Amino acid sequence: MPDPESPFDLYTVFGPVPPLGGRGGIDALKQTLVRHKVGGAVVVSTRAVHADAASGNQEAADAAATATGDEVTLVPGAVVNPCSLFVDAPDLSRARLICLLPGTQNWPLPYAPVTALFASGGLPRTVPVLVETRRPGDATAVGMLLKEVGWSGGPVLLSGASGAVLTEALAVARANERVGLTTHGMRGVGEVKFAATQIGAGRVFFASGTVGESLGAGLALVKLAGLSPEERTQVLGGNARRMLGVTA
Amino acid sequence: MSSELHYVDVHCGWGGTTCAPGWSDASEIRTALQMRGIGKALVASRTARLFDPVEGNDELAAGVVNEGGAVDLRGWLVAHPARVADAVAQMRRYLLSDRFVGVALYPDPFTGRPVTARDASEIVKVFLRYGKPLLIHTPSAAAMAETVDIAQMFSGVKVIASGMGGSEWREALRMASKPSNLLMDISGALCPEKVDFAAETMGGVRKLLFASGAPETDPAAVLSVLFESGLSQEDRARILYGNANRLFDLAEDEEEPVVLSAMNSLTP
Repeated sequence: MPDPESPFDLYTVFGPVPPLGGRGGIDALKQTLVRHKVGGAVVVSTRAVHADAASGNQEAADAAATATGDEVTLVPGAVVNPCSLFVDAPDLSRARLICLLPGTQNWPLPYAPVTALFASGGLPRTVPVLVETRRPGDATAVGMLLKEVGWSGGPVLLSGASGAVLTEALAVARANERVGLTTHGMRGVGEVKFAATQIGAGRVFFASGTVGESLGAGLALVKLAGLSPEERTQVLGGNARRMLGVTA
Repeated sequence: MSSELHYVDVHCGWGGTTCAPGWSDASEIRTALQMRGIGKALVASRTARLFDPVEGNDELAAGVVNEGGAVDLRGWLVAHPARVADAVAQMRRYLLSDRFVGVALYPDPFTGRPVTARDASEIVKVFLRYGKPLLIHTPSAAAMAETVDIAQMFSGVKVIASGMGGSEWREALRMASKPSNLLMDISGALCPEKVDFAAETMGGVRKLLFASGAPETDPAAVLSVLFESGLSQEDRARILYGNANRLFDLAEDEEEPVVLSAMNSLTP
């Protein structure tokens, strides 16, 4: 069983991506997590991201279920693609984290289908939502959306922000205590520390985007951030385990 | 220089950011680099790159004086293709000193337009006489295409493409393998497959260098990417310091084999 004090990665991806090769299967992901002593992760399938959300989310849930008792705890994440919202209503019953990926899937924000999703009860109220906000303006749009619909559901985590976009995401998080940030996308000197200082380490969550992106780099940024030991434990895994109800 | 600090960061910035306001202070930069195992860093002024080359280079010149500390900082002289006269005057003033390692060219700060051969030719013709390397920031495959043209046009100068084409690293590397005078640093995308692909495409690690692009990218992140690669320790050592020491004539003593570790520099 994984060490409950070990890092927990809130965003990992498995499966082939044609331009990047096909070496990112679930076994490769598990090996990467074990090699870096990461005890658990939310897993998302590239099939769900790039092709078909329904079958991809099923694939992620099955992969997480079969990892029970392994060296790593895998928790299923589900992708919602709002472009096909009214044709293909997502089955989110097994999802522990819902992912909205506007930059990767190339849809805009603000976007009426997303507003409808948040406003109409299309999202489970207790499941956290991760929103990719690496493009300038996306974090601001999410902040305005949450305000517009009076969002009172689960935490909303902004992900992928770095540089000037990080400042934007932090401004949104400072204005809404339901909003947190993941470290996915952060890369600059001092960015993790800055985020923890601005909104508190309790709302900053370690996430890497591995296997397509470097898990080691993500860990290094948190380890060298100059956080106190307590803050580092929170960011690396404590916050994620508490939010997801994961004990290992 | 401390015997434990072997790594050479061939391209990072000088100038604070919102998250790293101390990155304009030499002692803070040295402390941060030391924590990451870096003993030598070649820095370029962010002011010169984004705003005013003359003011930025002059500030940098005052910052890269040799203070004999644990981390040796040396400078890149930033030249802007639209300010040739200023660039030539500053080359004359600074490039004869060993504190400046060469000239750096960047995409246009307002439009992001890459440096082209036509833009660079006037400056590079003057720069040739100094016999030092030329660094060109290549954050995209389009920028790499222009840099390949420049390297082919000026075969007598060593050209370093910094940034490896960003997220377009596969395309950028494929086009960059030909010119024998074109070297590449491993900054840019933090993708674990990248370094292995670069070594394969470039026919080995002879033309690869370690650079971070700090403070926009933490050097620890780039080091981690290198240590996630499947390269041998010998090849990692060449990228981390061997190739740079030879290219910039930085080695003080006969190099001894060292034990390389990313995690050594990542202890909280």
